[in-house]
Amino acid sequence: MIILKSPEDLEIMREAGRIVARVLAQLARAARPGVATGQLDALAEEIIRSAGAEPSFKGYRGFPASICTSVNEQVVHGIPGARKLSRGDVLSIDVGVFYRGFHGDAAISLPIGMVAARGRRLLEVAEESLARAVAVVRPGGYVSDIGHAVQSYVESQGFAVVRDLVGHGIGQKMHESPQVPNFGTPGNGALLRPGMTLAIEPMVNSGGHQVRTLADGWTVVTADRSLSAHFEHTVAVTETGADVLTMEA
Amino acid sequence: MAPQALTIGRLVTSGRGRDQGQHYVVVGILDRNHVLLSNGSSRRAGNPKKKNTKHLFAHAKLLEEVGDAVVRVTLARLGEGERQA
Repeated sequence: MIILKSPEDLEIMREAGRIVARVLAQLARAARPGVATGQLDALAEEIIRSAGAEPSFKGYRGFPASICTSVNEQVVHGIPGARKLSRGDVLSIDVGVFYRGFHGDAAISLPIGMVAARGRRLLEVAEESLARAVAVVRPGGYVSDIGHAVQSYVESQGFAVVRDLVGHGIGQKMHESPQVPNFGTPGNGALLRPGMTLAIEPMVNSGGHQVRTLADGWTVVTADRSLSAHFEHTVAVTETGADVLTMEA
Repeated sequence: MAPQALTIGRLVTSGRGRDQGQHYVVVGILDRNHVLLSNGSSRRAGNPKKKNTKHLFAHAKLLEEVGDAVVRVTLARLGEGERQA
C-alpha cells in the first residue's frame, strides 16, 4: 500500500531531510585520505543525535552502524570500520535519519583526492542520472518513468545501472511501497500522486550491472569489481512536480 | 539503503485481481515483469501462479527456502505486525 503524506507529515519529513543533508555535507568535508570510514560513522551519529534524531540504519535488520560507506567497487551497504580512505578512492555515503516519526534518506558519492578520469565521469553520470530522475517526477506520471530516465541516460553514457537493488517509498517506515527500480520502460507501475514520498537512488557501475553480496551479508559489490557510485534523494510528489526533501535549508 | 528487488523467497501481497489481498511467496522469476507465486496450499510450487509484478506489493520478509510446507506455515503465521516487518 502506498501511503500519501499530509502537508504536516511533509513538513516533518523536510526537517528529517535537512538533517540528512547537513550530515552528508559535513561528512563530505571530513572525508579525506587517511580518515577511517568508522570515524565518519561516529561523526554522523553525533550530528544526527545532536539534532534530536536517530540514525535509521543502526540496528536495521542488524546493520551495525549509523551510515553506509561504500568504497570503489562497493555499490552500497558497506559497513564503516577501520578502513582508511586513500587518494583516488570513490566513496559513497548513505545516510538515513528518523525524526519525529518519519525517515529521511539520501546518499552522495565523492572522490577522495584526485580520481582517474573514468571514476570522475562515473560520478558525474551518476549524479546527473538522479537529477534527471527527479525531473520526471510529476503527478499523473508513473513510477517506471523514474527508472526509465535513469537507465536511458546512464546507458547512453556507457555505464550500467544496478537492477538487483531498488529505490523505495519512504515515510513512517524506511522502506514503503512502491519499489522504485532504476530501469524499465516508461508508463508502468504505480501512478504518481501528490503526497507520495519516494527515495530515488540510482546505483551506477562503470562495468557490468551485475552485483554480489559479500560474506558480511551487507556489502554489495560489482561482480566484475568495477567502480560504482550511488546518489539518492528523498522527494515528495507535489501538485506540479517534485520537491526534494533532503536539502539543506 | 536500497531494498532488494523482487527475488525468489520474497513475501508479496496481491494488489490487483480476484486474489487481491492474498499473500504469496515468489518461487520463480519469468521475466522482468512476471513472477511465479506459491502459497503452499491451493497454489503449490509445482503449480505456481503467474503474476505481473505491477500487481504485487513486496514485503521485506525473505524466505531462505520456498518448499510448500515452509511457505504454508509462514503465511499461516503472518500477523499484521509481522507482515509489515
